[in-house]
Amino acid sequence: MTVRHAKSIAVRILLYGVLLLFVLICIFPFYMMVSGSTKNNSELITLNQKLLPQQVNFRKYALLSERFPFWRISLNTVFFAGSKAILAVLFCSMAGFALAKYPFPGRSICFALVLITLMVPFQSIIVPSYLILARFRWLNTFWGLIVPGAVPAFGTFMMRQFFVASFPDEVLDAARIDGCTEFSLYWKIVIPLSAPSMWVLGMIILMLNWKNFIWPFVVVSKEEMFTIPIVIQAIAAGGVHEDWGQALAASTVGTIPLIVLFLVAQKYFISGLMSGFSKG
Amino acid sequence: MKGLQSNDLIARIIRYRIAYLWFAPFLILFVIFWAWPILFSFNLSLHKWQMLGKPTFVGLRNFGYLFKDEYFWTSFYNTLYYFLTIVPLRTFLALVIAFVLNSPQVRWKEGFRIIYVLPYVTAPIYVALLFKVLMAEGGGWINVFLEQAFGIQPVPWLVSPAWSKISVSTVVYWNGFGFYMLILLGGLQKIPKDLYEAAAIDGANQVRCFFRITVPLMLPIIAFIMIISTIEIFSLFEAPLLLTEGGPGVSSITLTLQLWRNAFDYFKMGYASAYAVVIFLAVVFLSALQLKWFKSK
Repeated sequence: MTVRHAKSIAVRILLYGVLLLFVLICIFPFYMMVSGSTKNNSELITLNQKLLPQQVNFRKYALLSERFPFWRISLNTVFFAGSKAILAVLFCSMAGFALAKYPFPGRSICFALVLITLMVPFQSIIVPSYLILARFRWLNTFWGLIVPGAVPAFGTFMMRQFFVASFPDEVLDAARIDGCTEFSLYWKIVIPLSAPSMWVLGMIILMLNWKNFIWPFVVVSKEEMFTIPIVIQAIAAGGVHEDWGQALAASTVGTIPLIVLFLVAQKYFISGLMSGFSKG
Repeated sequence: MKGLQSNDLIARIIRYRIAYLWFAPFLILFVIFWAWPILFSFNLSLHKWQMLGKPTFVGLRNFGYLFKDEYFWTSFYNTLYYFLTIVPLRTFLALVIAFVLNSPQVRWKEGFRIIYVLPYVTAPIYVALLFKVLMAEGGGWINVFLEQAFGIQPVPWLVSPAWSKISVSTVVYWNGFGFYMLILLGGLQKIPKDLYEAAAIDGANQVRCFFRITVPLMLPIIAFIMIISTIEIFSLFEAPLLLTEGGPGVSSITLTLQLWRNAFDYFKMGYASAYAVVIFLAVVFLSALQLKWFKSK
């Protein structure tokens, strides 16, 4: 019994050792990002690496806001990701509700369209998307940034699954008997009762758009319409003027708010990610 | 009888008219920003167009050039390389960690779970930048650490064709691991606990439980992960764009990067669309294949 006991302790130490090693691998790069943004350039890439910066300074942040309209860019990012989330929650839940609760003619075709859209990689429509936006004169505008992906298929799919699996028809029927119109049914009954799933969807959409690089990269070329991820590429493409410290400062500004939000609302994020419908 | 049916159809349309209103926003955006672009893409791939003047119809000639284009084959090979080096091992590791985090004996599960997802919360472009700094050959933190801790010679992460793909893969691993771990954990939590208890009574150890109970029951979720990973790898863009710039030479280019360069650096819209069509067909074909394979299991 004691041998077995000793063995189980050894297994446990090994297990936690591996888990903690993974923790270190996950956390340490963040430390390098934040500390790198406060180092001098000569300390960033050097054979004499120190874990702590010699002297913490915030010059990179000042330089960043001198070189780019960085306040504007940060607000763009918030506005872009936030409005995408709000629109997606509204329209995806409407579409998902229709698919789940009304046997309207054409429903299976509509559902098939949602599923097909899930399968198509966005990359294969970059060129026509750009041309369509150019035709609409939507390049470098919030219209171009926000409208095209405002009703994502995976959100519609997720809301539809939610309504099918966990929204009882009886609630709707009872409301109808009480004389509720179909229109106010959605606003007065469905929205309040499905708020938790809407929060989940909203958080996931917010995160995905906050992180999104390729779509703003297609739509935007003027600095005052940049989002933070585009700043990184602009600095990197600067050639001789490239300044990794500034780029790390921009990454820090782009990463920390989302991580804070993630930690605060992790309940929603985790359950959304666990259900797995945040890609495609 | 026929008339009655069509009356019935119209009656149902009228009865459920509100559903069309609710579904309309999706449908309108789908038509303008998905369906039309896909058709547009196929059509454009049959034309030669440099953004000036009118596109000229060239039939399948773009595809002819494409299949003779060395860069196309390199990027296609690289994409397969990324898929094979990343997806199987990452899925397996994520399943192992999820299995550990799901076992009742492990404590601080929520804490581990949150920390493992943090890299996924970070945008790929930031991750690519960060690793570009850390992976610098002379004086990047990783090489200095490897030399000081293990006496390993500086690794040419980003400047050698033999290493550049490995570096891109590493970044993709770090960025996506937690996400796949969470999906798998979500699936594991749905496996009833009594199955494991019954196996434990029969004397099966943890490793046996993992391969005999967990893996078979998780096959549908593994299939799902394979499909979204396929889309992820075929869309790989930020890491090769910023970390290695596709190089050195063309050693780490991807299909999406080549598509982008042809479209927005060389303004070959028709040729870029031929790339787009190949990505589209490859993803649909591979997803269908995987789904079929997992269904037969």
